[in-house]
Amino acid sequence: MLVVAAMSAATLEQLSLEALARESTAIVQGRVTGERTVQAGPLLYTVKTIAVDRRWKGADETTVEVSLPGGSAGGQRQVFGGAPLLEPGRDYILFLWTGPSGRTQITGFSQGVCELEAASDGAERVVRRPSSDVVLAPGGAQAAGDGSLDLAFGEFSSRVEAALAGAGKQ
Amino acid sequence: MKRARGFVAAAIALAAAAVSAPAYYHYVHFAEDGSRVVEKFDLAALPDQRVLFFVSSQQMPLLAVNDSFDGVLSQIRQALSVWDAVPTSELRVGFGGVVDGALPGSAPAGQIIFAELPPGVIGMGGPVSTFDSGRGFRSIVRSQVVLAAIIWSTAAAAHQLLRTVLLDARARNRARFDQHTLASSAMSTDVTRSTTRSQPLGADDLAGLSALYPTDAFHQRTGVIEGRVVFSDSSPVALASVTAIHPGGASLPR
Repeated sequence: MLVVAAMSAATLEQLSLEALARESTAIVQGRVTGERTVQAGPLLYTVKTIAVDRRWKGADETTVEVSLPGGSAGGQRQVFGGAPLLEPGRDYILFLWTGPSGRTQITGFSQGVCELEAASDGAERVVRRPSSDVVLAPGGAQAAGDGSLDLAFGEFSSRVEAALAGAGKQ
Repeated sequence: MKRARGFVAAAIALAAAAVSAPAYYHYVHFAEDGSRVVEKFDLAALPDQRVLFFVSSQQMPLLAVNDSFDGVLSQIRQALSVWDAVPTSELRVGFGGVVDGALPGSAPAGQIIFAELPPGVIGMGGPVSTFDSGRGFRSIVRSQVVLAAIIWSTAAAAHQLLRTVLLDARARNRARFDQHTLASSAMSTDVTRSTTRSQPLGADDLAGLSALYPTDAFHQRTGVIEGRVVFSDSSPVALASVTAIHPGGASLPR
């Protein structure tokens, strides 16, 4: 058995929480309940089925299918470093984008994946893990920081809802 | 287009910062016994030990004003000719052409694809490899660079594309932001890598490729330091920076 060395590979455009909310076509909280591999031209995608528990944006559906670049099929493995990984059973908040092709992907890759964690006082927090991807700020140099995020659930939800309300007024 | 245009300035600044990150990584796996297994092209599976690179036209890129698809292809061809001429590497490279569907033939190949990527993602890359080549390495059957359908290009970007698919992970990062400099002739990876237009490959390019596909001459003239950096409990240190010290006290270039 081989273990893949950690690699960073994607190059991303920095998106604030508010921009993530605006650019996404759906924002959901849910868990991975299944996966399959599909081929689209020369690319493999691992399609994860997410059971939706909560939704901030998007169609009112109980599940959503999210395509992650890379996968295994036919004795071969396609790897794209920096592509998000979603583990079964873990509780995620996902910023999703469905393009003209109909494929739903994660907005901003690692930027669009948050996890729910319980703080020491039992309160729920929304956490985004540090990333080693190259992230470019909207009009300048390499973005500062490691992309991590740690907010009380209430603050996260309020900011997302405010961003969506602001976008609706524009 | 507006969002992508903003990256030209960003790429210039970021490329300057990349000067301090000269290290190379190959595509590496570690077996359970800690042994190192690289991913590379199987020379025996390549006609004339040559890997051909194809540009997929299934989705055409949206190019900057005054740029053309033919111009991009020309830059890729020129870059390939440079990488094809590394004297200490057995691997030869060439331009396969533009394909509208599956890659022709069954030989390992490189592939440049323009695809629908979500907001906030500029590009990504990686190899497709077999699970076990039976030769002490994992055979790359296809190397792919996926770029957002909106692309900016320069001559240097073509070299970065090749670094991406031929060599390492960190070079892939550079490829991704450098593609956004295609509209800016003032900026090139030549600057970031202390190379010039007349000599577009740096010492680490030559060493990185030659270490994977060495000629006898490379073996005779060059030593390679290899090992693992681990914590006291033998767990691996990810992406450790290692500097070799010359007996005289000076650090050797990485």
